[in-house]
Amino acid sequence: MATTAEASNTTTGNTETATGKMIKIQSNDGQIFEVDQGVVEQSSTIKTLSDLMDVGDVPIPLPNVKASILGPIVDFCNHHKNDQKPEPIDEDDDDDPNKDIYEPKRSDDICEWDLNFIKQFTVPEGTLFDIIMAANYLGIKTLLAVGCKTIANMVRGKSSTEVREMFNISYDPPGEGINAPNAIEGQAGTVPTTQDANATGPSPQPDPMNQ
Amino acid sequence: MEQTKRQRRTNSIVKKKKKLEGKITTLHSNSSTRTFITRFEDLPNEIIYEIFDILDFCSAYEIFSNLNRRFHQILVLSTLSIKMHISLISKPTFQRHYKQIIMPNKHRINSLCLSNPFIVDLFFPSSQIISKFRRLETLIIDTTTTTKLANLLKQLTKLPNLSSLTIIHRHCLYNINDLYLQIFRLPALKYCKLLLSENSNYGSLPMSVNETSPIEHLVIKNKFCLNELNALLSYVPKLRYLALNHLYSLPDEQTKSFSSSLNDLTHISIKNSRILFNELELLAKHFFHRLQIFHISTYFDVSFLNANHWERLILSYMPNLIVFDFMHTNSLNDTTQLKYEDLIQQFQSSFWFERQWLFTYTFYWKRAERHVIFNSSRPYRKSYVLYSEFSKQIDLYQQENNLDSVERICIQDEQGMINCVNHFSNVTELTLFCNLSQSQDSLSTHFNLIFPTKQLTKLVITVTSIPFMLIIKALSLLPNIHTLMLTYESFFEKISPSIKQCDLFQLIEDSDRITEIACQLFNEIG
Repeated sequence: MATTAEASNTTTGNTETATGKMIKIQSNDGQIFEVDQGVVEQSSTIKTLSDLMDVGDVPIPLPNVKASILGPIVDFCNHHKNDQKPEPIDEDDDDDPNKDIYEPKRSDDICEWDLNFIKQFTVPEGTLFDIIMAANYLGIKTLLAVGCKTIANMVRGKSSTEVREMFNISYDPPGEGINAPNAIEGQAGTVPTTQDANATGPSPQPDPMNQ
Repeated sequence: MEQTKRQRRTNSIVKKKKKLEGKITTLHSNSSTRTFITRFEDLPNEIIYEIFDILDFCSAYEIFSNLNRRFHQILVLSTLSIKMHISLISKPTFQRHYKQIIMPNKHRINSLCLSNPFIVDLFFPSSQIISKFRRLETLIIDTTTTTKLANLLKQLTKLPNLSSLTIIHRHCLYNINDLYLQIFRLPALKYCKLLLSENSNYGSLPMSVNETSPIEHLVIKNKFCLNELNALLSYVPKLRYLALNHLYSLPDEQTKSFSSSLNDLTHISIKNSRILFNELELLAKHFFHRLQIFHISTYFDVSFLNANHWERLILSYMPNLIVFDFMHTNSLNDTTQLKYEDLIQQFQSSFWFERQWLFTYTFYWKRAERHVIFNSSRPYRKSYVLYSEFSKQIDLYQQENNLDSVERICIQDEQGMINCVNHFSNVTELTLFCNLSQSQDSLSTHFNLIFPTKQLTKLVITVTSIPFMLIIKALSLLPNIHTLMLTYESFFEKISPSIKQCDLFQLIEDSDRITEIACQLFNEIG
């Protein structure tokens, strides 16, 4: 993957002048990436492994991440390694009445670079979920947040049926779960969403929650 | 002993290492067998929770709760706490949420923000209902009727975990002291923030006898009279942080002495205050001896500009002070006798340099009057005002370096924007105090020079008679604005058919990115 090579080259260039220490990480399909301390610092997993394991020149194995995902992750971390760390909330900034209001987590604050970055991963190929799971495994909070916000943006305003189709979400087996008649009782507003264990299409019944 | 310690540490590291190696081996064996395409349902619950948290509970519930058993369990059968923020929502949608989602899960809600006055009334058809939210820790209420508020406050004492309370109430309160007393009776309250109507009846608050509140963080954003402060503080002996946004004193009433004691008070923020320096001195004498952080902005009394006064006050009563953030604003007509170049010299002695408390001043126009602002240099400033100066006694238009702390840009007048040579990389909010007559392209150029336009999420417009095209232009150049505030004297011009047909209007109309709109004196929209 071209981006992988670029990421490694970029990393090598920076390392010698800025941080000095290079660390090798290895994807589950055997590809090795050389990353500097600025990248390592963003991943709690790699940081812990490099601290605890006396790796020397031996690559740290990351068996849960394939090269096609690890390469872009290295790119992402390289891009963000000089980002300012968020400052603690300044309680003194009380001159704005709107700051009083509890604000839920936003999903429309993904920066342009990150938006373009995440666009290369898709639902049909499963790579969008691969990158999210890899970010979770590697403990890269910023990337995990970008992935989760992207998913939230995809489903916001959609109906259950649309989301089921978009993510190919499975039905419960017949007689089990929320499709079982005895489980439906007492659950106002919920409606069985399948009548067939193998059904993958939209629910044939109307969904009152989304009307 | 040292050896034992080292050995223990080594053993601990070996254990961690083995654990991690085990984790790697397990993952390796799992991953080697995985050839399928990853699906949404492969995400672990912790990530699903994170996504639901971003969506907000009601949306997540509507979309996912009846998809299959796993999501149903996560949303319906879980005991995890729920944060709920309700603002813009139609009445039928709210009623559906209320019946199907909110009430069945009321025992799980630990944070509730109702930032819409209509919703408050619908949410609490009877005040007793709030006592059923047993897990509630944080409550934010933006305006309800005065009677409803009083009844709600009585019920809040039944919530054993309520530790944070914010009340925004724009209606007149007949006796504001009753409200304070009810708040001070809340048994677990640590944090309280109030913005109450300025027309409320401010009677005298009695001094506390035996009644004290556990409040540690108190913010009062409405006007508060200095003479009432002593009694107020007698109820909050554990106070660590106090912010008073409009502290004032009455000209014909001498401030009495203070008798309360606050041994934990380390932060004070007094903004837009209209008190005299000798009144501040009185405050400092009684309350500031543990103070570490002090923000103050004042008007008029030029005694505040005397460096020696400050030096004496700080050395006498604020021996632990670390942050001193000072701002003084005045109309220049009142201070023509003052020579600011001499004043700033006084603030350049070793006392100020050793503490790195540095100051600057600027002359500017505001509503056709000349003003001067004297303030601490940048590190503490979160806002930055662009205005056209009429004097260059200090060279404001030199590029400044230390601008990373600035989060809000205020454009006081158009020339100020044109003259600006600084770039503010961390700005997220723009406030317009004037109309901007520049063309779209020209405005785009200026905006891009001053801040990263895609980073801005909040736009505040405080212009008398807002030209609708200004909003449209600004929104089109700032693509990520989600909060639009139109304040004070603002009102819309009627939108003409020609505006509705223009491309920019269509662009904004087609997007639905604005999630918060706040208007005051909203007169007419065509």
